[in-house]
Amino acid sequence: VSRPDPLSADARLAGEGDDAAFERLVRATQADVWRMCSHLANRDLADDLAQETYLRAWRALPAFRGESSARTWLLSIARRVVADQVRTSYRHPQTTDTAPPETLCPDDTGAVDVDLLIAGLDDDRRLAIFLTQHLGLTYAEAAGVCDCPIGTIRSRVARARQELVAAVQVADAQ
Amino acid sequence: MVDCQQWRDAISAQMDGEDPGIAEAGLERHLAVCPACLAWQIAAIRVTRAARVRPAEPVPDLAERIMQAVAAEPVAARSRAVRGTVDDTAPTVIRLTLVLIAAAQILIAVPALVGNDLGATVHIAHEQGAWGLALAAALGAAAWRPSRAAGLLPLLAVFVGSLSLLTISDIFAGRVAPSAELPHLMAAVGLLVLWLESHPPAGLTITSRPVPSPPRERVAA
Repeated sequence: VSRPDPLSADARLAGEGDDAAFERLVRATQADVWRMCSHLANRDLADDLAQETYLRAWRALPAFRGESSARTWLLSIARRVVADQVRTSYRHPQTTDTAPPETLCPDDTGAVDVDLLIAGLDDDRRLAIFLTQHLGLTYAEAAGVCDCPIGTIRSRVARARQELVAAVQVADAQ
Repeated sequence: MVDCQQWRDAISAQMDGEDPGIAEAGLERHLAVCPACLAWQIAAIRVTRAARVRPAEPVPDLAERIMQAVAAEPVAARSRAVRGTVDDTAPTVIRLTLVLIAAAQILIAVPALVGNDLGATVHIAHEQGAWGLALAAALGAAAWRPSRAAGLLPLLAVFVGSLSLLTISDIFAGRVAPSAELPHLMAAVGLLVLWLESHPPAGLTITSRPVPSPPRERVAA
């Protein structure tokens, strides 16, 4: 159980009906929540998905017990919102035209576009990389968001790194 | 290479400031003798740095829109969650009294558990002691979580009620001395306090606020 952070304090206040506290919570977390929605679905749907996340959070806040941090809790709600509302047809269409990693070539500067490589990872590994590397969550927090053991996050991140390293090494060899 | 899998998992975790799951000294030793893992570590650091450095993505400010949507939300949507909450509070004096009675019950129960100078057979004494401990635990639980008090009432009421009747009849029949039965009063006081806790008279109530209940509303999966 993490120490009470200001966000979780606001979450508890919001659960008791304090709208100002809820607005503080929204302002402090909306960037991460929006990025999460954008990552799991796409940029165009992210606004609506983020709003739906906060609506669900607002309804559930009276029962928020601070067992996880408010940020982790919101991100796990976002994950469920996207799973509920976004059907396979909408799923990360930005990756559909991604070239398979072996055809990637270094650009003029010799750098390989790592974002494209990440987009080619499977969903679980992409999410693990997104949460730990882009949002900067600890493995424990990422495990809370994904509702899985810490060891699963640990191995997903490691496998993702192996794929990325292998792709870069292939590109470098060309 | 197969063996290097676990080393690379450890290198990866270490890179994120997480527990590598292996002694770090062992990892350093392995890197000193395994050029492939050392090369992998260097490449992984490079890839990780590239992955972390991202162009600042514009994120819309949705706060006002969200606050409006929340304001339009029917209150019932939220009170559903609140309605499930249990008032898990009680005046401190009541909870402290329960703790004291629970402690006294333990003191009463211990002699029955360890010795046999009560005129009963060892086994019956043990049963008495075990029951006394259970009683103490129940009162302690009600002190800890006042919402449990109501559930314990029937048990304690039947115990105290039947024991009182039997004790009175035993005293009049001369089977026991009244002074020897005084400890039973403790259970009767416990029942009274438990009743006060679950049915607080107006003068004793404290301002109750909604406290999140254990059956937490799960966000629909």
